[in-house]
Amino acid sequence: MTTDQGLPNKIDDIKEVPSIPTFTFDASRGRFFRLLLINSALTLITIGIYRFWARTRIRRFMWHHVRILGDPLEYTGTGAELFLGFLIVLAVLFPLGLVYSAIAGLVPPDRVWLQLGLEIAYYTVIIGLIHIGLYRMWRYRLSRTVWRGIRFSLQGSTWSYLKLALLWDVLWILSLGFLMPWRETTLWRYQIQHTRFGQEAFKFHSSPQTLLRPWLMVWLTGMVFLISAGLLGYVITNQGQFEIKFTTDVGPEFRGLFVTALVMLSAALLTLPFTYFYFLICLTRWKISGLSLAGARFHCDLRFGRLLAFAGLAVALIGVFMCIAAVALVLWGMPIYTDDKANPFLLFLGGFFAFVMLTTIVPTIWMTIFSFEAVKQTVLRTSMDQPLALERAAQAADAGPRTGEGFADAFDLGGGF
Amino acid sequence: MTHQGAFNDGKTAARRNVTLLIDGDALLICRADDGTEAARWPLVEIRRIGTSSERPQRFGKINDDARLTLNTDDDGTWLATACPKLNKRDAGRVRWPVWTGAGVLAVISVLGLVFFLLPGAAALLTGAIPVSLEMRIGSAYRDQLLDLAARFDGNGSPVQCRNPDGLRILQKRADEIASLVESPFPIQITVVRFPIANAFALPGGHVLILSELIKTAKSGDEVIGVLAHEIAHVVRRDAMQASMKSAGSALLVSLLIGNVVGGAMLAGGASAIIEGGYSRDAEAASDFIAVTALNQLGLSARPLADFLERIEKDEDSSNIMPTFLSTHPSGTDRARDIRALSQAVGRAMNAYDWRTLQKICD
Repeated sequence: MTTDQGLPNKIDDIKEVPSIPTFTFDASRGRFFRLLLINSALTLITIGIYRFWARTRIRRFMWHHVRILGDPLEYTGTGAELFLGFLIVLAVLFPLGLVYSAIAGLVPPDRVWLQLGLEIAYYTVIIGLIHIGLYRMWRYRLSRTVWRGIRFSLQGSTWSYLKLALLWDVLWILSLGFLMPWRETTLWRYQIQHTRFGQEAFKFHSSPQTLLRPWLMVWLTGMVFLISAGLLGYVITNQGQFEIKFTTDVGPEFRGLFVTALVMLSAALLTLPFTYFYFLICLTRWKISGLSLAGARFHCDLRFGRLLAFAGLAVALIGVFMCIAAVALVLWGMPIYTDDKANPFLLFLGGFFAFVMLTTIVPTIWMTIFSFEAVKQTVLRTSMDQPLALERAAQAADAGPRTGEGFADAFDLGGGF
Repeated sequence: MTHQGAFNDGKTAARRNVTLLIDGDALLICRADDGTEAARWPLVEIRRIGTSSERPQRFGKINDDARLTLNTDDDGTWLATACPKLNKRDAGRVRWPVWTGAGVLAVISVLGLVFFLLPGAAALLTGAIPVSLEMRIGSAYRDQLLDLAARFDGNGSPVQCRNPDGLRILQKRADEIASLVESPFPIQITVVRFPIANAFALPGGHVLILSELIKTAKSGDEVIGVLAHEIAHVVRRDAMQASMKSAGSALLVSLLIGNVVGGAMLAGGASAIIEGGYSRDAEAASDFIAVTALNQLGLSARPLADFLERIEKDEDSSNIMPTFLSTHPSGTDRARDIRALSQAVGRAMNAYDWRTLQKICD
């Protein structure tokens, strides 16, 4: 424990085991579902303006139900901050567009290399903005996350992160995606080493080798997919049927190749979601298990099977919902569509409702079933070897950025949260 | 009477057991082990964290990182009744000049995107679209409009007018004009039974003439004049540019209102309002191309001017479509300019052809 002056004691004093589990999660799925429904309705009524406040309410809910040594995390961000960040993005959009079109106007259209360079520069800027947006999003969220009155924060410079991220993007592309574990290690280490709880800095210990096996599974299935798709394309073009008229009527000399490619392609397509999902689980486990704070190590043993089951359940429910929606659309919409005298406005209304259903109900199902469980399992499956070390952290002076996530929000990088 | 709780002083993450006592207008927070004062919170500055129903109850003080947690069995009523501003939302760190500035800049930026960058980008992108693709887009577009017209019509009879003699008369003049202005697309004319006097140039060389236009016209020359104008739009690829602009503004609107609420749907409607039809410049340029072509063919462009003026008067009296949806603004000004440019006096068709054309929908 600490003394009354708030000075931390030696590590030996805090090796005692606390009487309560370090990380617990006590949210109710029903309440979360209700919150999502209310958010959807309010967002709909306000034609989208409410989405910043909706997101804030979701975060406040989720944060609040993560308890560390019995005390909840607190989310202190506001919807107004997110809205202001959005306004700032809007404000820079026009100048950015102006600069781009000015440069584009200067490049003569017949200079192919210059045009190509312009294209590359354009995509570099877009990807760069995404990286900047992500880093600033982490900074904002950490600065608004409080435990026992002590703030988290993200130090480091956005520019250094951007340079690092772009460099590894290039290496990643040049290696045809193979270097993913090394890219993840470098970027996550940069982020973690600049993450603070109060004045305590986090450290990261894991090596990329752990990630190699799960990533190889994704990478190989991906390669099989690309190669078989290429083969299939080759067969079809050589049959002179590259037009949209895709038929299975293939000449005898290509038949074997065609069937092989088709089988490989279907196998890869069926396997890829599973290998990628497995990789994501391993990645989360690896990211958390490499952490340490004030000498105390984190450990995470998130399981693959349970989350896969919940993902499957969510997908199945969404499928059932879509089937019901499709049947309803046919039963209700077809008579109107085929009736030439029907009011076109009714058709528009039907389309609008179908769209609203798709864009609000589907994410709601996914978040209630899967995202909720993913957060819950990640929290419950995380532990620390000396949790009381957390209590040693002292407050830092920096209060974090003043506005919300801006670009990250515009590109919707938050994954629903 | 004293109460128990846990206190985080906002300086470290340590948790200390404390005893709590309301002392005048402040809450006295004392350490449980030695009874010394840990903090003294004025009651007006105490705020609740979370809701009143949850346990344990948690409290903070404005502009302070310290936190107070009551025991789980304590519903906090004793403290809640004593604190006058427990649920007040305090102003954020951002002050109103920043808000105003960001708001104004955001509005300027969006306006700049809509009225300045989008048209430019649309022109740039249209140049990059191959002719064959634009023709395919145009066909799909025409089929959709025909379907829509059939719905409006509602009596089940075909809305497309297919009288071959009438179509031949139009097509012959259209081909002459198109080859003169070096159209990248062959002109494909569709005449639709519809009670509005209008004509449209669609992407890819499709020209849609509504039957009411032929009914309203006083002579075949007026119809050919309008046709020449639409062909000029075809050559300038104005319709394709408008679709590009529409797609761009749909993207922008869905960014503005977020993609949560059927954004694209609303975006479609909103973008139609944003574009409003071709700009004055596009109309003037098309008029110029049309009149030049008519002059070269030895045909008078004055009937086109007459027609524009008459249509504008009619529209004032029976306004079916709101003006922002009308693709041909400011008829009187355009008629004046067209008359000034017109040099030839020839007629586009004789009385027999005109009668044939009038029967195109029969």
